[in-house]
Amino acid sequence: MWVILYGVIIAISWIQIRGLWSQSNKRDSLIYIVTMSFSLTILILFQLGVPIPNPLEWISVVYDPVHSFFQ
Amino acid sequence: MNGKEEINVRQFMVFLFLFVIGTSILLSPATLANIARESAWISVVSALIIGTAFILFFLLISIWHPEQNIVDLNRLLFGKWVGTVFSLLFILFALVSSATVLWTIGHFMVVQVLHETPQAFIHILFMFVVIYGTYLGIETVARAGELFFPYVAVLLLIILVFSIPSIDLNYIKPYFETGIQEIFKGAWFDLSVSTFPLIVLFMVYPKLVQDKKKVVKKVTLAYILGMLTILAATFITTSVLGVAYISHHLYPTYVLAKTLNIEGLIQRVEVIIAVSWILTIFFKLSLYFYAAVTALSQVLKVKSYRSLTFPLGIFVIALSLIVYPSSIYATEWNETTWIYYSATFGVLYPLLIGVATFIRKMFKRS
Repeated sequence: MWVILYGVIIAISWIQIRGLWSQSNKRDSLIYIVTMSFSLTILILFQLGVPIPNPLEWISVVYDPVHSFFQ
Repeated sequence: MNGKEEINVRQFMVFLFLFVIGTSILLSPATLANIARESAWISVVSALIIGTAFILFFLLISIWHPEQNIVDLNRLLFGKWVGTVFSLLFILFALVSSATVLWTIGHFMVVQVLHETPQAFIHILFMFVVIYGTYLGIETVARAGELFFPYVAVLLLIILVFSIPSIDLNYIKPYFETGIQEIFKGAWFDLSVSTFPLIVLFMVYPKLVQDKKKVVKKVTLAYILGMLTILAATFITTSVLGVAYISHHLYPTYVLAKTLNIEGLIQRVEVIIAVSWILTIFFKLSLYFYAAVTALSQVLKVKSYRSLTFPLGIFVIALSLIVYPSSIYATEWNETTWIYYSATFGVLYPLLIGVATFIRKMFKRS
């Protein structure tokens, strides 16, 4: 199942990057590749069961003093 | 593809309505009953009054800056570097919100409708629709909103109106028992779900909406209608099912639809609630996601935001799979961190914009 998903994602990105590249939007396609590989890496790491740091924990760390102030 | 997109005021009203009732119609009653007990509906009434003041303040900002969205405003008021930092924080807020909303709908489907399906695939299927809608542009989403609005309104109205005969007012007595502090805590929670996140609509509202006639009246009306729907849902769930019962459920409105029984003829209509909820969540998620994508494309100076939709959509899917490990964590996080996090962006940040605009005007005059 996951392999099909990755296939679909890579196929769609390939089409979109080729479109951007042919419009000579080299900077945009570079941004596309960077963001896409970042997102895909997280997705694959999640599927492999690697523990990923949760951004909500960081937000909680910031807002914990505020919460204890209001209690 | 790069032409300026425009929606009209009516479409924006539909957006506002669907955004306000979005997640709160199903989630608020339980948390409010937990916090404010029998006075849950009084919490919503006070949230309605405070929220209307917030809406008027947001509209005032949009009148001051009719041609700028959030990213333009940051650059204009706070300079290049600080403005960019603020924009990035705003993008993070929009992405985290879309991930949590996506998790909420995925969890709802797994718990209530599709028990055997892995949650990840519901997230993926739902997000692909949102990505496609955002890729086609805000105009398309707006027209879809106009199309689906009657369904949402009529379906919710059916559930709420047919529940009226089973109301038992003894369930919501005694009034004001929990004290004014708990009532305001409940009101704050309701505002943090429905009103403060409206800041993301600044990516749509003053810049992309055309023909702004009588806009203050119309937008406030749409907001009040949305809050009245939440009020009706909270009042009816608490008075039909009772506080002790609904504070133990995650989705009280869904339970309400399950118990609905019209003369033994029409029973088990809970999927109606599920359908209208999926529709409202779709628009809420699309607006969060649209705000994140357009803001990021403006910060990175990408030619068209469309090239960023797909990578960021996959990012939101990945984020939504890791944000909440469990529903207990979700409730806990919403009650301890989300209310402050969304208040930072919904209260402090607009106030900062207001103060900066005021100072700017003073300096221009002198």
